Amino acid sequence: MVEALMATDGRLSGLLDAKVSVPAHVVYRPFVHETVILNLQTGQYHGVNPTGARMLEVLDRAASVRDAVRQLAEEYKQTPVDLERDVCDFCEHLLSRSLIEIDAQRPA
Amino acid sequence: MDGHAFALSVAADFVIPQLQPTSVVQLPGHVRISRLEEGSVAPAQSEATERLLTRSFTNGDPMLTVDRCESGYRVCGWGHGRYFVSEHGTDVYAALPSIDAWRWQRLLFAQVLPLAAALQGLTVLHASAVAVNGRAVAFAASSGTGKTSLAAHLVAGGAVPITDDVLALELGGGGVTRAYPGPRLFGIAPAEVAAVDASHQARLGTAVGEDEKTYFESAAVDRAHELAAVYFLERRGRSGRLRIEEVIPVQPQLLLSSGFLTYLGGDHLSRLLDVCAAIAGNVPVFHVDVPTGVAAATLADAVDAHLRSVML
Repeated sequence: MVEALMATDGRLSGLLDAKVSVPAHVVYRPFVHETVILNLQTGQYHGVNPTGARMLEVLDRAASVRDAVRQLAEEYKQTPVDLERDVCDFCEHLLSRSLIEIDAQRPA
Repeated sequence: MDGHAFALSVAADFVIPQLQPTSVVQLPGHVRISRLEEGSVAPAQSEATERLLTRSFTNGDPMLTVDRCESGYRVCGWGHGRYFVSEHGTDVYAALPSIDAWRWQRLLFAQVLPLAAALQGLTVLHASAVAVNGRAVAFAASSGTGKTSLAAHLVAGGAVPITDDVLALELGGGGVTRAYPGPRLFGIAPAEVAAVDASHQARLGTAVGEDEKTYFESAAVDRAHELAAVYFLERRGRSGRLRIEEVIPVQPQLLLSSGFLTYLGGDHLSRLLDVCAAIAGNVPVFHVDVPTGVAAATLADAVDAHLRSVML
């Protein structure tokens, strides 16, 4: 599924229209200045800053990555275009660590 | 014999001398311990499916192994007994060698009962703890740093002994974390015992055995205490003065690194994360930088003074 979304420039350009979600084997909890994400399958802990934590939360609930970008752009008072790259980079980061999944059955 | 430790009420068909006496307070967990003849196999025990933990002597011989079996866990400590812990931690079968009780209890208290507690939903940390003015203070550190010696000196100074090496925690309402007493067995280096003022040595308890450490039956504790502070001890091999500083913000890795029985994975790690997040948000955490040559008694005096200045 990830490979199908890869454009020739290596970016997850089709990602914006996909729905991503936090799988059941991943849990996250806020600490004071960061959020810790635990992959229960690997036992590995990962830390994200408050902005990353908010991105994760919104991505998990949004109908698509594009919808998440729109919501986050409104919250952080940026244009969606400016935020797309950051959000896609963040998704790539999480995907590489199996902390989110792309829902192959549900196009946005 | 009945008693309690690590938030578990214990019902055993043999005597376990250094359990806490039966608690009047209802405890979150319960375990039945049955003694088997040495060499026999527990009911429903099956072959190991996965080796979870191995610790070896310096010559490479196995010292401790924990194996996942189809219907539970097998814990073996060479010379200290074999145990089978049921899937959900409610039943333990013990095959004990013919050695003094203080010796075989070491494996039961260090590994088996903490495993049973964790399987029943408690979070266990590798830490010692005492209670001061009705509130629990935990000390976490790598093995050999001196967390038990520190606790022992604080007990000699009047603190209530909660646990030697493993601390059982449970989240309560309103961000409160409850610390449950472990067993009444503290192993203290003889040099540290000698460093305690003679007039206070009785506070350590009754000596019940000795090898490289002296093992004391400590005073009984019948209830949990609210966790009020966590101190992380570190000896970095430097000279200079002892420093105690509050950790702000609390690094999650600092708390998570003191997690015990992490081989259980899954829900146990998830609960550890919950407890550490609660501690980070509600409990002061301090880093203690201990220079080379600072004795445990001196460290205890400093920690005691610090405790009284910041929280009591």
